[in-house]
Amino acid sequence: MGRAETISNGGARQDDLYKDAAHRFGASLERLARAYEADPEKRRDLSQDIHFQLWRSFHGYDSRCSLRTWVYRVAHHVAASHVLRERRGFSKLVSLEELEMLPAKDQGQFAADHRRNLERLSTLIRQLKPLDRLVIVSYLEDMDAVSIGEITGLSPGNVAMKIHRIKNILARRFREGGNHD
Amino acid sequence: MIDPKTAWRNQPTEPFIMTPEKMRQKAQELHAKTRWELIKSIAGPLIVVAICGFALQFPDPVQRALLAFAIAWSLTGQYFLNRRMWSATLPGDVALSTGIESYRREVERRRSLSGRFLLWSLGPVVLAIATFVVPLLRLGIRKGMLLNMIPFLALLVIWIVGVFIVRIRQQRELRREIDELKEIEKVNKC
Repeated sequence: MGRAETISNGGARQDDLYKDAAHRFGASLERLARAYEADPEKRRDLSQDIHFQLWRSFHGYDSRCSLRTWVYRVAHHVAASHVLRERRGFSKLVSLEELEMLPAKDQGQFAADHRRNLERLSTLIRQLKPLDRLVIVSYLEDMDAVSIGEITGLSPGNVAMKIHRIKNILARRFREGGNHD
Repeated sequence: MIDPKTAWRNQPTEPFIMTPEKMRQKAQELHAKTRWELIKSIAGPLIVVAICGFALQFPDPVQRALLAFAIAWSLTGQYFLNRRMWSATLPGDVALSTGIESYRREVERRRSLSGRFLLWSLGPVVLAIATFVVPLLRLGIRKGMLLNMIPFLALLVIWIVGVFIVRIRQQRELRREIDELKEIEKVNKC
């Protein structure tokens, strides 16, 4: 097989992998972008960046890890770089541990409006440091502790502890009853 | 209680896929953005060259040597500041590294970039300004015009100190983040 043919095959494989990933994880990636950027315009740019870098990364995909792990690692890297680049309020970002200790103004409130609940959830996530954001997003995407550990590099025990904290935080802030809106 | 998982996963999303044309367009945008970043980064050396070009007429050989050094420092700095700008923005092994590793490396890269800015961009600008201002200051003292120069000098000092403080704060913040990440990595390896 000639070099040109090899490159062409490689390019086609890269395109196929990207299409497969975009088809399977496109919606998750859009939700991930929402966790990292509040501004719709910038979020669209971030989404495009994630897709573009994902496509580029598939040039070197060698099945050493699952497609999902690969996609999430690349997406997180692009999104975390975006947070660092923007820098606005970077110093105000907190860890899950700190967030658990913080009193919530809207604690116990429940909004009947689905959109408002979602907005509150997104705002809550965007208060977190990038690594904890990745954990909570993966949790909300219904991944198990092993998968989250594989993506983040945290030990299963640590992931389990973080998930426990996430559940506490979410239960406290999204409890039905209390002060209804 | 509402289920945040359900709320999260049921949020409306639009199917999004980048076509090859869109990819090409994105690559071009990225290229243009990098070029613009480069142009912006040349502002520092331009200030240095402008000041030095004017001040090279000074008769004092020490001053001329300092200004020539500032130009050389500034131009060398451009190489060190921008040498990796055109390379891939996404390191090849990002997907093979865990989230924590790749994030720590990115924070380290940002910190190093911030440090390089102080050394290679602010440094020569300050040297050039100082070489230019010190003789003016001496002249002002001799002619009793120091009071008139104070607002200009004060603004200059505020600007330099301000830039320095902001960068140092950024560096400290990033250092803290790196330490925290290293600690997490250490705990998770055990």
